[in-house]
Amino acid sequence: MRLNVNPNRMELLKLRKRLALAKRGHKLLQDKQEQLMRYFLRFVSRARELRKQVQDKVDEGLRRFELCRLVTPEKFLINALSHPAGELKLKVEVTRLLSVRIPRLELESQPNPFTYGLTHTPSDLDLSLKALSETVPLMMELVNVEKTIVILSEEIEKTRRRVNALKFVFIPNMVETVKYIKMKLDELERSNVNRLMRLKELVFEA
Amino acid sequence: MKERKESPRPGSDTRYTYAVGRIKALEARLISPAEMERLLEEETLAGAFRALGEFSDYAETIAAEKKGPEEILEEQLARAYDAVSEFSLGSNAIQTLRLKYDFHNLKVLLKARLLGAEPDGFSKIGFLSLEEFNRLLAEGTVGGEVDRFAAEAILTALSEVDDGDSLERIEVVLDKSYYRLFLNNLSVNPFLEEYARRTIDLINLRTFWRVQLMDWPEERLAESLLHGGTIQKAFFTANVATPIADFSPKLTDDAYRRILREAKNAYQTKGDLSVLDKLTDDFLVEFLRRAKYYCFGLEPLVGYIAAKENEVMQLRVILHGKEKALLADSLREVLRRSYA
Repeated sequence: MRLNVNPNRMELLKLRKRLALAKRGHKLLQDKQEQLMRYFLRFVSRARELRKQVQDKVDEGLRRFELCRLVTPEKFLINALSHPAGELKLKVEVTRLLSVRIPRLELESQPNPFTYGLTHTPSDLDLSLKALSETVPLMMELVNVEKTIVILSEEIEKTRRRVNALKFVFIPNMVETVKYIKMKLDELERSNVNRLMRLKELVFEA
Repeated sequence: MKERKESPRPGSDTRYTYAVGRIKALEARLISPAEMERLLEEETLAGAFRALGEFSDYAETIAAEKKGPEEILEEQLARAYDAVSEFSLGSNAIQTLRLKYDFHNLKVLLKARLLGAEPDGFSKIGFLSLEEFNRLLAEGTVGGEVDRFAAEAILTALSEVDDGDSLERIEVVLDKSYYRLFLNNLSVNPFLEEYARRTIDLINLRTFWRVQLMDWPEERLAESLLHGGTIQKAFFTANVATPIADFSPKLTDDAYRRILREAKNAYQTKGDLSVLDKLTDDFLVEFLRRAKYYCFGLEPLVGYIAAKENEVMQLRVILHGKEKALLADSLREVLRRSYA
């Protein structure tokens, strides 16, 4: 669709400048989109890998815990597990990736679950808690990666819409308008020439 | 209650003749391996409950009101302790077995007090109720209906706990205090003394392997090891860096060597330590089975308590296993050897 502008040389120059800028912007946005896509795919495969690791660790921890649960009175297990020492501390940071702000959770410290006595607790409890404790940093990493994926997917969507708008709407409209102004100016030029030629003929006839 | 002087020769103490007669009758009502197998074959938890309800001891508890597996098992164990206490002539050895639950309750209360939290996991099997415990901790004296034997043991243990002790330290101090009492009170004759010492040995063996496997500091091993076993504490601490494969041949007892060898093989193939716990429990049950053949003495009473604990553990395996829909074969791997 042609833009609603006056078909004059000044507008033509202005539009040509804008068109060049739009083409450069389109190229840059397309590059950004490609780069975002590359990061997105890399993070997706990392998330898949992490999710598997977390799942395996949780499965292992819970399987062992079930074994402990089978042979230990519930109250002994409650006593052993209800008071871990220390607390889980997290730090939130914001990083930038291709000028996209991404929050990141860092694990500063995690509780020590091994505060129970070794006399009345089943041996597998240690291995169970070890496996479950090891999932915490992995889960933090997974949270970070999955959040990055969500933010990147939103950014990709936004960038794609911009690229498409430039490619299919903004640039064609401007090209059409430039063409229209150019045609208009050419037509003016031709009518000028005709007018001059006609004047010249009239002058010679007189 | 005042402790009567015990006879030193195993199976010869005629003071417990009546008690042994009663115990034989109770032993006959223990769930047999065949009956356990029947429970295992049940498809669901409801089915297992139904089958369990057919056994006279459990029928009443199950029928009385809707209770969960843990409550039923706890009640059964408390009843067994009550029954044995009734005709054990106030034996400290029998009372000490029950005291394990009071020490557990003491840990729960001390930890809750240290962290300013509500006590969670208080057992009803012990001698003292929550109110009696709170009164004992607040006033620091024994009074009223509080069981004197338990209260004195608890106050002694409590005097060993310092105000600044960590959660881990509280556990260690109370465990040590309990097993010191356990050894002292069970050393009424060579058989029970050996049982106590072997129990301590097996706990120490498990502790040794756990500390090594988890790569915990040597101090934790030295701190957690119990006194009084046939294997000296120094033997464990001197071998803290010795891999379990090289450690087991150093043990002089064949049975311990076999337990460690089998547990190591199982750990290498399956990667879990539950086999070690099972083998140590089986060893103690097998050891106590000899008590069945004593016609007089305290041994059958201790044996019955251990058998009931064992039965309750087996039922816990089956009932929780059914609740979680675990396969019967995987439950069989965890089940301990039956005393019955």
